[in-house]
Amino acid sequence: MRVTSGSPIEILLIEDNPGDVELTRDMVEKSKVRNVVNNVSDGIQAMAYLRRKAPYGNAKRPDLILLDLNLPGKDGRAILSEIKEDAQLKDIPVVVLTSSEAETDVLRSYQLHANCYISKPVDLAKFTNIIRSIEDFWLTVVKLPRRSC
Amino acid sequence: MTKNYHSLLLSAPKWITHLASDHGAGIRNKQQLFWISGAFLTLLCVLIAGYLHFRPRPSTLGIMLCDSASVVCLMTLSISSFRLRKEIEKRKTAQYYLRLAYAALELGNRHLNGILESTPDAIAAVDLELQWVACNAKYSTDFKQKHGVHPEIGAGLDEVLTNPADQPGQAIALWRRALAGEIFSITDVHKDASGAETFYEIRYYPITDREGTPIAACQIARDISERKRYENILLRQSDELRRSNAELEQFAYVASHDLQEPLRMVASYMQLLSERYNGQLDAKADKYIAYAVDGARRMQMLINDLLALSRVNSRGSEPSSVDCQKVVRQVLHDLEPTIRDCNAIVEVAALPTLLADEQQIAQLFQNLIGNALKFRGEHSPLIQLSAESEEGHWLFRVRDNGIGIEPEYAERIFVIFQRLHSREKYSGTGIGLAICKKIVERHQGRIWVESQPGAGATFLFTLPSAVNRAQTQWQEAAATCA
Repeated sequence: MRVTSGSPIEILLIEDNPGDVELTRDMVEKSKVRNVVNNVSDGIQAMAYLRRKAPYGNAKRPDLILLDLNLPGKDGRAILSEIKEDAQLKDIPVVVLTSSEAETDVLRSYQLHANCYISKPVDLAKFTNIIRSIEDFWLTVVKLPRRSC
Repeated sequence: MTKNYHSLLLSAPKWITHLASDHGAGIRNKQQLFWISGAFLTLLCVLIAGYLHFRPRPSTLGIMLCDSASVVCLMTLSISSFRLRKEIEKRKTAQYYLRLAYAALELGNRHLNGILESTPDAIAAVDLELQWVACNAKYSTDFKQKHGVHPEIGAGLDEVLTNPADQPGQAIALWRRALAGEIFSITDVHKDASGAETFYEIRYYPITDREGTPIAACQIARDISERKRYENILLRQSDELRRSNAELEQFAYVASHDLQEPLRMVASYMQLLSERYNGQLDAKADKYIAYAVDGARRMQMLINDLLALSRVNSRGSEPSSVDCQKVVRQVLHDLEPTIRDCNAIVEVAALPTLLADEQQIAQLFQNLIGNALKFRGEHSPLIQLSAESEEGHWLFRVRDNGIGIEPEYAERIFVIFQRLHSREKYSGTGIGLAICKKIVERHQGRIWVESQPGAGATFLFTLPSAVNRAQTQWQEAAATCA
C-alpha cells in the first residue's frame, strides 16, 4: 500500500511528557504498519531534528509528525508555523495531538495549517481508539508524498 | 407684580401692537393724507369764498357759496379736531401700554440676569463683530483668571486676546463656527498655578433672528472636573475588570489544558495497570484501581463543567431575536428519548419571542426540563411551561410534579457543584442550575424556585422583553473578547 514499502514509516513524536511518549509509542508500535517512533521533547530539538542538524545529522525525514502544543521553550504553535513556512518541510503531515481543548488552540492550529487537531481523552480506551484511527488514516488510508531522501 | 404687567400687556388692544409694528406706518400715512386733504379743501373753500365775497359786486350765489364753504371748512375743522383728540387719546393709551411693556421687559431682563448669574456655568455672547454683548459674572471671573483681563461689554475679542499664549486664533475660530450657525461642544482643560486641572465642557450656539440668520453666538462653559473624575474611576475599574477577565480566561485555559494532562496520566496509567496486570493483582487492587480511575474521570467532569460555566460569559453570542416556542420545540425533540422512557407529558403554553442568546436560552430550557425529568417522583412526570408578560420582562415558569426541594435548599441548588442527593441516586456534578443562573443573570434576569418536598417544584425566571432589552445594554462581563 505504501510507496515506501520495505522501509518502515518514520514518525516524529514531539512531546515532552514521558508518560504520554510511552503511551503513544506503546500503542503506535503495536500497529500493523511497520513504523519507527522518534521522540524529541522541545521545539529546538524538533527543528534540529527536522533540519538534520547536530546531534540529528543522521535523522531520517519523518513521514508523519505528532505534535503536542504545550512544550517548554519554543512551543508547538511556533514549531507548527516554522514547519509550514519551510518549503522543505511543509509537505510533512502534522497531527496536533494535545490535551488542550481550548477553542483558540484548535483555531490557531488550523490557521497555521495543521493537518488535523486531536485532543487526547482521559479515557484510555478512547485514547487507544484515537491512536488506532491516526494509524489507520495516516499510515494506511492516505497517500503521503514520496520521500525525497 | 410681573404677572400683573404681563396680563396688562396681554390685554392691550390689538392696535397697540399695530402701532408699534410696520402696519403703524401705513396708518400714519393715511392719517397724514387725511389732514393734508382736509387742509387743502379748507384752503380751496376760503379762496373761492374770498374771491366771491370781495368781488366788486357780491352775488347771492357768492354769499351762499361763501357761507357753505365756511360751513364745510368749520365741519372739516371740527371733524379734524375730533379725530386729532381721538388720536391723542389713542397715543396716550399706547404710551401707557408701552410703559407697561417696558416695565415688563425690564423685569423679564432682571429675571434672565438673575438666572444667568445664579448658574454655575460661565456664559457669554458675542455679536457678528466678535464684540461681547453679554456675559455673566462667572464668565468674567474665569476669563480674568485665564487671560488676566475682564471681558468688557462692547469690547472686541481680538482686542483683548492679544497674548499669543491665549491662542486667540483658536478661540476666535470657535466663535466664528457658532456665528456661522453651528451648534457644537468642545472639552477644555485649564491648569491653575498649582497645576490642578479643571475640565470644561464648552458648548457653542448661534443666536438667530426671526429668519434664522445668526446675529450673535453664545458660549456656555461647564466645569465637568467631577464628572471627569468619575469617568476616570470608571475607566480604571473597567481596566481592572478587563484584566481580571483576562485572568479568568487564562484560568479557563489552564483548566482546559494544564489540569487535564496530569489527570489523564493518572487515569491512563491506572487503566493500563489494570489491563496489563489483569489477574496478577488481587481483587482489592482492582477495586483501588477502579476508585482511582473513577476519581480521575469525575475530576475531569468537574473541570469540564467549570469550563462550561466560565464559557457562559466568555463564549456568549450577541443577542438576537429568539422565538422561545421554537427553541423549546427543539429542546423537547432532543430530549425525546428520555421523555418517552419515563412517559412524561410536557405541556407548553404560548411562549414569547425575545432578544437573547439563542444557544444559551436553549441550554436554559434543556437544563430545567432535563432536571424536571431527572428528579421525577413516583407518578409519570407532568411538566408545564408557561410565560406571562410583566412590566419590562417576561416571567417564565417550569412546573413539575417531581420530588420537590426543601425550601431551605432553595438557594443552595443554584451554587456550583452543590448536590442534594448522592451520586448513586442521581448522577451529575451539580452544574446544571448554576449554569441556568449564570445564563439568566447574563440576560439581566432572575431565577428562583418555589417548592415543597413531594409536591413538585416550580422554577421561575425572568427575561427582559424584547423592547426593554433593546434599550438596556448587553451586560457582557466587560470586554472578555478584548
